[in-house]
Amino acid sequence: MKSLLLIVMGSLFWNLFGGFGHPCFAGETVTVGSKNFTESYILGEIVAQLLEDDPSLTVQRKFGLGGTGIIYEALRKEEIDIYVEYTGTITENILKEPGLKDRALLQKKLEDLGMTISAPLGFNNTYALAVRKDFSEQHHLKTISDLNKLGDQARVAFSFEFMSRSDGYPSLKKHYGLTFGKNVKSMDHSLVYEAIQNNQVDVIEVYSTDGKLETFDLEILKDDKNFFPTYDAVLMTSLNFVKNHPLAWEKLRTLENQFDEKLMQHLNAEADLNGKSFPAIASTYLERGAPDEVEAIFKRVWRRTKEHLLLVGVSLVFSIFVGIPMGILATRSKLWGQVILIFSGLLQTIPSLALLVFLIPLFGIGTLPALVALFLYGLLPVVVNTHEGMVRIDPRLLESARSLGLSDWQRIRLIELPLASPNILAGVRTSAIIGIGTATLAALIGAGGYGAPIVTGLALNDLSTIYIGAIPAALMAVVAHFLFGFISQIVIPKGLRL
Amino acid sequence: MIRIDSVYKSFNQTVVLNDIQLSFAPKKTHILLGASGSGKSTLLKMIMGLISPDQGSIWLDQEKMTPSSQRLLAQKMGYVLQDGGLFPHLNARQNIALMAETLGWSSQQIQNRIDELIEVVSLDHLVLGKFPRQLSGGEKQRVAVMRAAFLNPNVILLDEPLGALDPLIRSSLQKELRSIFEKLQKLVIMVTHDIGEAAFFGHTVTLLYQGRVLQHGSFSELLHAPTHPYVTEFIQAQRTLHDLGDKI
Repeated sequence: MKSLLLIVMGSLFWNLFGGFGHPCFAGETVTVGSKNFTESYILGEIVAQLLEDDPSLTVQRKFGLGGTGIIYEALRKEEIDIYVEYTGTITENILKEPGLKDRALLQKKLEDLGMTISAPLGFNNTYALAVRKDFSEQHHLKTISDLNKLGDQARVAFSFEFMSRSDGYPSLKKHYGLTFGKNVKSMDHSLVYEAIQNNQVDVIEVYSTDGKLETFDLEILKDDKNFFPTYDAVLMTSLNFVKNHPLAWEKLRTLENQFDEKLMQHLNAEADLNGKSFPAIASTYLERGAPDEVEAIFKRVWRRTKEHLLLVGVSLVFSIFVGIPMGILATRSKLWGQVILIFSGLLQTIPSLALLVFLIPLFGIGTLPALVALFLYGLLPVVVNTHEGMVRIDPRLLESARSLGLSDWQRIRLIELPLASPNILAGVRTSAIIGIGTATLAALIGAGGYGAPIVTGLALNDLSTIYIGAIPAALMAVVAHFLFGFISQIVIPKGLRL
Repeated sequence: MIRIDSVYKSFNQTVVLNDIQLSFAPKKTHILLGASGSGKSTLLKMIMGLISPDQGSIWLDQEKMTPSSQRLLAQKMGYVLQDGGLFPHLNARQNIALMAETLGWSSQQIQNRIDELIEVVSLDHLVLGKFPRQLSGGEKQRVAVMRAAFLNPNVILLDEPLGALDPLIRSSLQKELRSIFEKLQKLVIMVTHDIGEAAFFGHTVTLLYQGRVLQHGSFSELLHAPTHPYVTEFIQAQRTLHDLGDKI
């Protein structure tokens, strides 16, 4: 009876949120992607708005994807059709051929992979190292080589990506013989400006088109030994897209050579410093007047809430229906018990973002891989608590059940599961709360939810945008807490609550 | 009729039951008596099919107890544990009728059987709606007896059924339990370590010592014609008020 109720609730969820029936499976749809930093959002929005000029196309946006690995995989799997990439990133991270400078050769290698790029949009968003103006005057710093004057006294902060890229800190260090020693911290890129402004660090890595360079009083150190590769922005798409949408591609190529670093810095500053929305910046740039006013906050939160509930609810239902039988099976034999408990424990040790990335080759990006990842994450608490609850049953009660002549299945259903129900419910509750938190990462693979404003807000370093995701997520966890208090009144037999 | 045929059992090299050869007549009350570790509870669980013998066999009428026959044979026997063994998530009525419901009895049949048995164990109907945690020790045991007797089995097994009760309640429940057994007219096997209880209930008494049957007979046979010095030692070890003589 109760399980029937769960099935009905599960399918309600499914219908309420439209299941997997995304519009991308209907008609002439073009999906534009972006990474999760300001410039990528803005350029993605410009591309999307240009495409929207053609009324026969439905334009979808999958913005805020978490990194080159994810977005390129999405392009390869045709989950997205086009996004803005940088030549340096293509050679370093995608082709893994650092130092490849020849454009024709680059184009050829991409075509071997079924991909193609446009000519540069006109600006080079390379990495650069920056220090505060006063700091540079004090220590006479003009070039990266000058940093060696500081010895290991400089406090340095780099983004996680820069710390690990082959063209990032490790080779930069070698190239210039830098001796920062242990004073190098890793932090999210959006936070390094705060850190240098507050005099918590002295040297940071920046992008040469950062909007903040306009206003923050920073000195960019000259790359005197020509270390950093060129990061010319280009449109990146698949050969299939060019073949199927030649007109759209022609139109997008009008963006070639239309930008320079100053313009891009300005567009970035509009978002980062002046709080303008990406659609507004894009349409101002394209000179088409103000776009439809940004979605009201309430509507935005409601849309994210639906996405988040879908992610948490559906994955939880699967965690329950798979986790409880696994927990039961684990109590039936020692071997199975070990295998199951170790397996579900191992799943939990995979960092959540890594798990999401592993699933992209199998399930692409978007809601499906996010659901699979959340389902896998939700398993352990359900499995472990079911197992625990069943193992802890007083052995005399199990004898009592066998002495009545109940069959194995009857004993599980009528005696063991009800007696273990408080533990099982505690497991499901833990799973749900973990799910609500972890689901915020799903935005990095384009599944939306409360993570979407959080990722955007992080890119913009804009607390109020982060709050739009973070506060409802916290509220949802609180609501879940009380909801489970209520559910326990229904699911846990009265005799056990006395 | 229950027959135990050359049964051996050991756990981790320790012999728990050694060449047990017994038979129990129908409609009588039989006592398995012994100190803790004597093997009496193991023997009772073995009769219920909860433990399998290493060697030998156990027969209920003409049917042999095996892992595959256990379920059906269990339905012909009732089992009462020390604290009743009632399921805490079910109320008294659900505990009592659980097996009948899974066997598909109609609610009228179930109600009739409850009415019959509640008379026998003299319980108030109000008790049926309560959960085990709300019942007194005596009430739990009566409910457990109702559950054990519900399918009208030929055999009722009890493992120290009064062991957890206060002395006063215990004494009054002993009398009631004996009259319940007389009304039910079943083959009853009851495990106890209490001489008084053995004398009070047992048509036959079986004294076990370190996994062996020392003597099997009526209580007065054990008292007056012991076959082994330990029999007398065991019976005399439990002093009564009489033994204290002039100290009171």
